[in-house]
Amino acid sequence: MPKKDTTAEDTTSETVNEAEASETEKKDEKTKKKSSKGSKSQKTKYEEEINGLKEELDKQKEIFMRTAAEYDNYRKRTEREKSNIYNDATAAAIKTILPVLDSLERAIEALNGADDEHTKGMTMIMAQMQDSLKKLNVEEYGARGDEFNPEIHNAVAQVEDSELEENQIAVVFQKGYKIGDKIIRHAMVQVVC
Amino acid sequence: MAKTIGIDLGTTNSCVAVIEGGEPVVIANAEGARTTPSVVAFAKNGERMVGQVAKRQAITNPDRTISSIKREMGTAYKVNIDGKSFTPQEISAMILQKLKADAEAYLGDTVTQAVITVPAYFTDAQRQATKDAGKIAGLEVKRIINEPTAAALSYGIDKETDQKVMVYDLGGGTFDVSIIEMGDGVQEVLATAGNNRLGGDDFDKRVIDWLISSFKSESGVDLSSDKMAMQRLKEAAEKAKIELSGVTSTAINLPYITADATGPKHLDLTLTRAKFNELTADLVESTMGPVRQALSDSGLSIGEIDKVLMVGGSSRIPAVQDAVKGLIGKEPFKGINPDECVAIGAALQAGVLGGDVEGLLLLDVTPLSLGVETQGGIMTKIIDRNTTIPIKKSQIFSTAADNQTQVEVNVLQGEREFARDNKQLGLFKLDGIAPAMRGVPQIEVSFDIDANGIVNVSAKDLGTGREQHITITSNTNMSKEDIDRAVKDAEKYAAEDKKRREEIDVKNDAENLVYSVEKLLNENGDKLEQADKDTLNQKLAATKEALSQNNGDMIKSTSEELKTAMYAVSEKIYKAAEASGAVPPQGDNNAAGNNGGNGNVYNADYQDVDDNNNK
Repeated sequence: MPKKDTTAEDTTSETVNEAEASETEKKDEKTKKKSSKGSKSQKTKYEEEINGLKEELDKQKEIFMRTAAEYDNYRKRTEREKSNIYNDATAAAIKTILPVLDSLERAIEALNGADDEHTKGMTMIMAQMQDSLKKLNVEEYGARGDEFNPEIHNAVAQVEDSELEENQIAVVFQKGYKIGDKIIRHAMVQVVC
Repeated sequence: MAKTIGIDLGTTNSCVAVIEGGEPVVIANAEGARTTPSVVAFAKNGERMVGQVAKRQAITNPDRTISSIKREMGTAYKVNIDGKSFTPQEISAMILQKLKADAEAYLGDTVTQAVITVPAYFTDAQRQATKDAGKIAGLEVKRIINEPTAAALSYGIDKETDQKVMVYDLGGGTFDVSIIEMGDGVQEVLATAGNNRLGGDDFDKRVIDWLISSFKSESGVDLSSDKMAMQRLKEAAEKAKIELSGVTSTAINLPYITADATGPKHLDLTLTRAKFNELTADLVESTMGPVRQALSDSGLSIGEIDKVLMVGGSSRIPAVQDAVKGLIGKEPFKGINPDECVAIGAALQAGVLGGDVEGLLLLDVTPLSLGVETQGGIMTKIIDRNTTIPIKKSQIFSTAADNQTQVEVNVLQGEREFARDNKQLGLFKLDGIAPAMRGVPQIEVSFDIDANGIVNVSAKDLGTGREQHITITSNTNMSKEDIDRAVKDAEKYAAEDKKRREEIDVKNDAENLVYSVEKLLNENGDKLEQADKDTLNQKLAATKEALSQNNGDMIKSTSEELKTAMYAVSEKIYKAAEASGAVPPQGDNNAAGNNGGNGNVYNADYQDVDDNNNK
């Protein structure tokens, strides 16, 4: 308040008396303030700085929260992925080998159940294969008569079949394989229409 | 915190991506696949299926399975199921809903906003239909962007100067070529052309036909009537096509493909890339027409095209890339997965609109490993390269000699095994270490890199509390070439360095062992039998001799024998102590070798002011 008075005095004294003006100037210097215009801008400067810092702080807080949230999600998702990794990796590996298994089955089929050492040998090889798959918790599925389910079967053709109902599997072209709940390869089937 | 996702809603396949940690990430669907077929189906009971599952039952349910609905967007086409009528946008919305759900599962949060891509030639009506589809699916479509633009975004072209880009998109069932002007705030479509009934499946068919005719001429059997065989051929053809993008020849091996009166038949053919190119040459050539058309429509000459981007799975085919290069005269850009780059571009746009990219912490990494020199002139890394900064890491070291009162911390940067092959960033000493036996003092060396890349290295004697440190400011001024070279050198010399390192390790281990055994003899000589003492002394002398000769093999064998002898004697001492109830002597914890029994205790290199440098 004294400031303003001084200012008023200042301006009026300037126009009136040089001596008075210098006195008030000395007063100003004593109080170590410049003209009130200067002190006002000082306060504004502080206010501006504070507001700027507040904004910056809010911005940083937001960045932090986003990053923290992202990190949290990432952590949770990684946990889930980790627990599935073994099955996923096994499924991928087995999937690559399945064509060999398919061929083996066809080979045995082509022997027409002949009672010779070759047939016996092949059958034993198949048994070894089945055993290995069992150890890996790999199960086969898909049989004639099963109800077609697109979640686990892949229909590639339709056929008429008097013995079966519509939407049942008539022929299994390729067996399906799964490990736990995860489908390694969908069974390739022909469905009754 | 809700994120905006980027969606490539394709004719045959769709893909969704999002920005995570500042990087675009493609989101796998519930079945684990990174793209989802754009197929919708209604089961007999009215249940809805979207994606791969819909595809798997398509053949049993053709009237209620809808594919390629994108072709009908913006038209009055309707799908009629069970008396209900669906517009193309409603069908598309079902696809978007699945993508939305998959994204939510991935992000662990609801998703309400998206950027969706459309072909550059889409009309306003088609764009509006796409926006509506998003709305029906519960997504606020922040923006619709053109597919070629999205592809360009994924290659970062918007950050470069203004240039003219051709995008060649050969996808599942459609071919689109666009010429856009992009960069520096500019985004304009100059021309589009294409063939919306040409895609990867056509290439597969050529291979299947060739397999059928080859087999027929070899065996006389026509496989086209055998459904099972055709399935196997279809799969094999697609697989062969994909393989031929990487190798120049592939074997198509299908045992027991069929059987006739004479017995089982096998298909065993080899398809070379040259033959594949021959079989598909006309398909490739047919894409050049639209390319020329687009050029002509844009009014540009071939030389004015600055870049060509390859999009869509089939753009991987070498003959396709060669044809494009041949016509345009420039090497096409193909670094980003062509099945995913449109979704990635959409995600980048989504990130900008969602405020993600702006508000994100841009993280720096330290380009090369940082560490200190340890016993034997080896560099022990404390911070690995490509570690995100800011970071602080400490490790405890110790002295290499008895009564060592000073350690020298030689701060190094690089990937080589030996200190002398790396760059020295700084050097300082920590003295005033209380005299003690080697391996006893605990010197904690800390590396603290702040967000600006300034490295503070400190060494603190945990016993006396004395500390010294050094600040290094300019270690990040290495150019990319320098960094790459440092990493390559490390790989080049890895085997050599490893061998030398092993030699040093053997030597260090032997020296530590000698020290331990001598200590054992000093402290417990009186408890030992003369015979044992003699054996130990003998082995000790042999090891010392080997060390002085610096013969690696000899050092190894003699120190092995010394170790065995020492263990035998220690055992006796312990047993005797147990029997008499006395406390067994504390073995030197560093006896196990350079790594010390304490895991992280290394022997810090030192430089005694009076001694010669013994590095």
